[in-house]
Amino acid sequence: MVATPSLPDIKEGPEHNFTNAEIVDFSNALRKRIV
Amino acid sequence: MSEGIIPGFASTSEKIVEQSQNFIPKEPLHAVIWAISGIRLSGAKLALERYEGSFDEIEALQPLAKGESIKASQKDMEDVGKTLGQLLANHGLAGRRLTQLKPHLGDLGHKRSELFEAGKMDELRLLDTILQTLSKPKSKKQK
Repeated sequence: MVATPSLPDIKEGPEHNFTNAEIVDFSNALRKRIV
Repeated sequence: MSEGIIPGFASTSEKIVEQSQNFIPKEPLHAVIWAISGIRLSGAKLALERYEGSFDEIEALQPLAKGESIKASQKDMEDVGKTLGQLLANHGLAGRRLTQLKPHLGDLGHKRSELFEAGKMDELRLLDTILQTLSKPKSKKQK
């Protein structure tokens, strides 16, 4: 079973900075799960 | 990457996909009947194609380049998750692969145009970066 895709938590403020690498990592995890 | 999860994003997109997949028959015979009946199929195809008013500037995906970053709020993430979930569900129902993604058409094209018009480029590029990754043909290693 593939782990639930995750991105950095954004509890610290209304907005969080996401890098391209973080989003691509997350997308690849999501792809394994549902595509 | 930290262990934190954005529940809104993951759960919204996955919930919509899971709900829709419950309606897609897995057995070959059922799949044929499903395709012949075509009712939901037509709805899904419409959702993928009916809107054609997208801006030229965003006809193609606008993913982040290496080293770029964007700012997103919890609401942005939930919004992107919902759009993505509906898109994945419609592709599943219409029997299409994400490699056949048409980012300027249908509900996706409409949503991307709304974001572009509202100047929400970070949210648009977040969505496009995810879509770029999901729609890449799988390499032999990944199959």
